[in-house]
Amino acid sequence: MTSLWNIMQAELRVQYYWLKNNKVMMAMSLLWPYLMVFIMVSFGTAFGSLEEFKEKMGIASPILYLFAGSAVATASLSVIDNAAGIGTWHKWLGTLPYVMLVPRRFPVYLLISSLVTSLVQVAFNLASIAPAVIVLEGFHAGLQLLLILFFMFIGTLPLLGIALLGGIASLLASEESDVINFLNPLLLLLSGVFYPVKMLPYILRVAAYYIPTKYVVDAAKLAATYTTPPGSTVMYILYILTLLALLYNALGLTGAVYAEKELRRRGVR
Amino acid sequence: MAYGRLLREARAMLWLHLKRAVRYKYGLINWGVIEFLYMAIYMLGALAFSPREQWPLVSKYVFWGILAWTMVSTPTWTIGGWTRFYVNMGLWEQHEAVGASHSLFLSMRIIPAVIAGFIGSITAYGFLLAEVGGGIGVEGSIALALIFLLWLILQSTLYGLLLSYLSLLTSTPGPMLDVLNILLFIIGGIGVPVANLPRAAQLFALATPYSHAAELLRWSTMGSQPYLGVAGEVAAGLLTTLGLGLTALYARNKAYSNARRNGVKGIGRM
Repeated sequence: MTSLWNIMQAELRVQYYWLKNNKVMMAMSLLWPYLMVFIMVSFGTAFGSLEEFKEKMGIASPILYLFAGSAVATASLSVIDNAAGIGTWHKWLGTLPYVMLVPRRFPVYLLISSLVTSLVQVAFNLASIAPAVIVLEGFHAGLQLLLILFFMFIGTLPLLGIALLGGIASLLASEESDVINFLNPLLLLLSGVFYPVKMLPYILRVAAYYIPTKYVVDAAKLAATYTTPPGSTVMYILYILTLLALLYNALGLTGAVYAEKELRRRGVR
Repeated sequence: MAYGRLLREARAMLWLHLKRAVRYKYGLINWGVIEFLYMAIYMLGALAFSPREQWPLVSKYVFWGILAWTMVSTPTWTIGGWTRFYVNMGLWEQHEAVGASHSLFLSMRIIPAVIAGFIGSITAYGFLLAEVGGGIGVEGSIALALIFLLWLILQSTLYGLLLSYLSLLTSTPGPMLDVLNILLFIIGGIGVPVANLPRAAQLFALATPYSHAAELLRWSTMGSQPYLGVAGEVAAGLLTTLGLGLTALYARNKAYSNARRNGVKGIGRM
């Protein structure tokens, strides 16, 4: 029987060879968080100032925050893209029926392969900004990144549940791409990476409290403000992320079980 | 004869892309919503750097700059990104076998891209209006603004095709090659007026096609004086667009000859 380790190993190999065989793609992936920082800082400061941003966000170190925030944003985009897109990707290639025939259940395959891809992407995105953060803000800021990495890993778990729901909806809707991949920028909008959440309209501000990335961004703000972040706040963020992980993964897995049944019944279109 | 054939192909491809737009209607709506959401993220991000009392003035530049960039980046990303689909699905070989134009097929992707771009832009306009409370309407000519927007779309189509040809040559997805497109948002004078850029960036912006159409768009919507004057921007814009077209043509010939000699290789996953 295919063990979970086999699936994880296969997904790690795919990730490794995609990057190894495509150096340009790897270089571009490393560059994305830098581009995001460049755009936000250049565009913002063309009409305003970094001081104003610092004050509005309530942070002490805007450079560390902007880099960390960009890595969080890029990583959450990757998590959703990969996890929600894996089903449609197999559909495109015509390999979905084969994947569904592997001894492990389809939802298990979806969850495990997405988890591996996502964790690799998260680590990759954070590693890409580490040199800039250490050079610009010092070694201590580099250590603060470890705290952010920890929260990014934890924050990936609830995101996976959301992404599974998106991927399943696309497969069931027989569309060519993820029909609800608007979730991706929506999560980014609600998480308030580049602006305080209080700038959002009321209804979106309320919705933001159900978004895992918002809490990862809060953790990045803590790291960019305190040398040693307050333990109670760290625990609060951890607690909320765990609750959201349980909630969204329960929903995602239930949806995946239903999707498996439906796809087996009516075939892949 | 060749002209008639091209026209028939264009009709067939137009039909195909419209058919796809209807067939994948949820995907199209979803795409428009995505455009809006990204525009909103960038608009709020820019406003976070400015004091609230300056928002009415800043939001004008922010909205028209982001609108211009959306109309530049959406077709570019769509055409560049679709090359992966085109090659991986074996559509290249099918078109090659019947002698149909690859470039025409890929460039027709601007139809859904522009529809999605307009859905996103109109929604983003409403969002910003609610956030700032007015003052971002067109102060000049709407007809001229549309002409300059169409010009930007034409330029981005040419650039998207250039990225497609580079994708074919390097087996890298177009959007991943698109770093320059993102940099152009700032240093290319699309999001930020050329006059506000540092000197080196100004020279760079003037050498690119987008800055001229974007300056003219700002002139037609906000009444701001273009950096080279209206006539100067039109002349420089035409010249740089021609340069972009010739570069795309050169890359096309290289990519086609390479693909016909060695076959097309799968283009990587992003």
